[in-house]
Amino acid sequence: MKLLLLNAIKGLWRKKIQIIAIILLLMIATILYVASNNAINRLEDGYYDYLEKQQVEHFSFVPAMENLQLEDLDLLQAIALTEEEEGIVQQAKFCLPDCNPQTMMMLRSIFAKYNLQVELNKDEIDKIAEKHGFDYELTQSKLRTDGTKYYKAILYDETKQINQPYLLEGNLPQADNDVAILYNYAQANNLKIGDQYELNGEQYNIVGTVFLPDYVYPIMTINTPMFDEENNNIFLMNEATYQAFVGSENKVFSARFHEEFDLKHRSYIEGPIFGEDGIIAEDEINMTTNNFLRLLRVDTIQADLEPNRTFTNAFVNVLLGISAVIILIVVKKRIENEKSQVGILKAVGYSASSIASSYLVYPFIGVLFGCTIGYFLGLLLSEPLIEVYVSYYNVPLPGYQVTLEYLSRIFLFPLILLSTVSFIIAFLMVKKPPLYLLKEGSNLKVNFFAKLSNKILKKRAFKTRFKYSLAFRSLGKLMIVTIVSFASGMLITLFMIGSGLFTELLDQTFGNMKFDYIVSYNTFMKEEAEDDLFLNLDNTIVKIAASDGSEIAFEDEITVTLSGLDAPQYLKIEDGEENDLIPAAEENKVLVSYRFAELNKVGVDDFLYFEINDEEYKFIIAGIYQDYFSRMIFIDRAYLSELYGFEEPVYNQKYSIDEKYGDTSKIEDEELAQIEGIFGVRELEKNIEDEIEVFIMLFM
Amino acid sequence: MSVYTLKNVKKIYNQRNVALDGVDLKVQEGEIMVILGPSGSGKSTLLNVLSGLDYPTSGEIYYYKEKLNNKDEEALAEYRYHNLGFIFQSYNLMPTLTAFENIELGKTHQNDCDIEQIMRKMDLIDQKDKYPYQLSGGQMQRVAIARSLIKNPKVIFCDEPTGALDEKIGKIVLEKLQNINETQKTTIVLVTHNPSIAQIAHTVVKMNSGKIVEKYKNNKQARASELRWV
Repeated sequence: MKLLLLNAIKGLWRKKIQIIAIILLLMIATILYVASNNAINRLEDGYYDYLEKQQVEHFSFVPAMENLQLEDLDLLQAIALTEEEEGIVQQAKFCLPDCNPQTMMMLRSIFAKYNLQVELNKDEIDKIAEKHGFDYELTQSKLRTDGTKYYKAILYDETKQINQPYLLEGNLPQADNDVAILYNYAQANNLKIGDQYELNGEQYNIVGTVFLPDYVYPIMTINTPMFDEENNNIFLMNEATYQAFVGSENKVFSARFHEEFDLKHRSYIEGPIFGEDGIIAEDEINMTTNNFLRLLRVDTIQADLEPNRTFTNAFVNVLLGISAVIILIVVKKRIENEKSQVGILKAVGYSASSIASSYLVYPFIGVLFGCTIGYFLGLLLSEPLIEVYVSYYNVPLPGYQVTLEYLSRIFLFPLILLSTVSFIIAFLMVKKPPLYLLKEGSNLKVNFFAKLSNKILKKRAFKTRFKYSLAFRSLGKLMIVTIVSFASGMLITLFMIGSGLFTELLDQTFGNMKFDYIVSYNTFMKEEAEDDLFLNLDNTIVKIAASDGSEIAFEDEITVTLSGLDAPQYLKIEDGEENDLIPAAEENKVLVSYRFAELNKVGVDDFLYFEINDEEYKFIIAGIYQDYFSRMIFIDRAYLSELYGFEEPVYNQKYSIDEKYGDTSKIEDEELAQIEGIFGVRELEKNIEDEIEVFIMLFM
Repeated sequence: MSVYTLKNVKKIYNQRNVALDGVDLKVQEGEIMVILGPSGSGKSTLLNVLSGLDYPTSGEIYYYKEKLNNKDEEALAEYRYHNLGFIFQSYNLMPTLTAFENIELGKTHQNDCDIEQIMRKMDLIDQKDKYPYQLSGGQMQRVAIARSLIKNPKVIFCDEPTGALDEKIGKIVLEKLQNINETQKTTIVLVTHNPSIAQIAHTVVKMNSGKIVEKYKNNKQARASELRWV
């Protein structure tokens, strides 16, 4: 056995290129695996540990305002209301809790505008928290932007248990104008502890750098989905400093379950507090937009790391597969070359398994050198990779851990795989009877394709037949070259098509959006503006009927957004043949999306029934617009306002190209207070483009 | 005492090609048996069934009192492992191993055989560290003989051992075989188409069309070096 091994090893040495190729492939596979998994594992371990230690919130909510009571109006006493708001409050004093829907709607918008939701239904919320076993705390933050830079001030209160900041350097803010800032921002802008930081004319002292567990991926707003470490900052500050900070405020309750929560398989429909749709199933509390952002900020990392891991592992497996194929070919070739010698060994009594075992030196040497070198190089390479991750994921990293499972995946798995492949091929070849192995030329077989080509080319010149016969003799090699070329060609083509489709999709999506901002208001605006104005109100369909009046069955509840519009300049609503449908939306004639029509089996001239202010209204479908996903039903804005009891047309959203919406400091205070959110379309487009670029770079 | 006893042994390939046609034969312990015959006469097939490399279609083969044609592949391997050595026309040396290592490769089980001593006996000691490509044909065949000797076999089967060698080298190889037979009393069954080699045999068997056409004892054994080569 010793000599058989020696023979195999010496054979390796004689065919250096082959074993070097195997070592290189295994090395690359191991580098990829170790670099990627080391980075991902450390980040993931750090992440789950961090969320637990810092008591990250499990969800956030605000109290519902469906059942406003007379005593709730006391919360508005300290607020300087506008004349119109004052009028609504006075009106409500006489009708609460049974005011008409439009008064209730206006009243709710006042509570929302002044951030008073969190003060409502305290007792009910306590009962719900006890029932479902969660704690909750108020989280206050203020956002300010100049269009490029986003600053978020968060009130730091050391008594709070949920979302505890993770201090990296220095101290948490105690004194007035002391701030602890986001570590990545400090790094990117070369800010150190003790530095002064000026914002909006105010001087702040940097006393510490932090990570925040609910800002693992620190998205500031919904329209900046890419974290920009140079321009996005979060300040932690004390109460007085926070109160003096100017910005649009957000108040929500951050909640955390008492019992252990499965963070790895976080699902918002797990707890009984969440309904099947993932929305809180208690009437007294509502999910917030913040909750959606929280998902992005806290859970994005899971969605990001898992595909990366899967992709890397798949790629590693492909490389291992290629190594296995190479080893298979090398061993096969080697045995073919030593066929008669193997025959002698078998003739004198060596067993097939002992001969086959000697060829295991290929995987052994390959794994020993390839995987060991790859392991150390992978460790080295994982550091810059981790740096890339932590430049946008704020997670404290634990030290590197070597687990048995990890090592066995690196060394044992390839060894077992490649040894099995080598042994099987070697065994199958040497198990043949010694006489067969000793026979000259017994390995020279003419394959089916060579025979076929000979038959087809029977009448052609010998030279031609010989040429094709030679080509088909190396059918295995020909097939490998074909498969590899086909697979790589397909990958490249798919990638080209994919990136082309992305760009086309981006052009199509954003090309039709001739506006730059979607501005949502927390109240109903009356003053007419030059922009496109929309009145968006959610409602539920109560009945659907065909044009002949026969009723069409539908799911129990279809909630849609009735979107009142005029004659928008920036938005096109067209059918499949690019006909403008907007003029058709007059009075009770509505436009529905293609998807809606298809799902509910309705068409033009069919009827939709809604209940507004306790009265049933019938709308006629006047057009089906070519948008697959939308649940918007477009209708004339003036008509919709009238139906909802407004004396004149109102709106709660507009599409604008006004640059002031890119810089909140340029918006007048009165309007700023009425704005619920600004969605920057161009910024989103740029962010998506950036993401595609990053993806392309990673792929390359 | 007979090492092998063959009774009415037949070997038919593809149900129509008769390679052995009812062969009866006895191989005596310690003798050199030369099997002669033209190409296709069945001499190599006879060697294969005797050595357990192939199964007869019918008939009986005994190794001493042990019936061989009942044995499965594994048992036959075991039988070859303990008792037999092989020398073929093509030397079949491992190209990556030295002469010494190639000989050692034949040492399938622990015994007292000294490789260097055997190499000396085969006049190979100076070629100890050479690789097969550095050796002449005769040297390679002697390495092959040494490889088969190293496990001290009871029987050595030689299939055209001098087929690829010239007269001078062929004689040297045969002389080595003769020496082994004389000193170690190893039974040698040698298949050849060269009638000159029959002069070193104790028993000569001539074959044609799968049958033994002549068998005789050679009372005037010649030394290999004195052979008149044809």
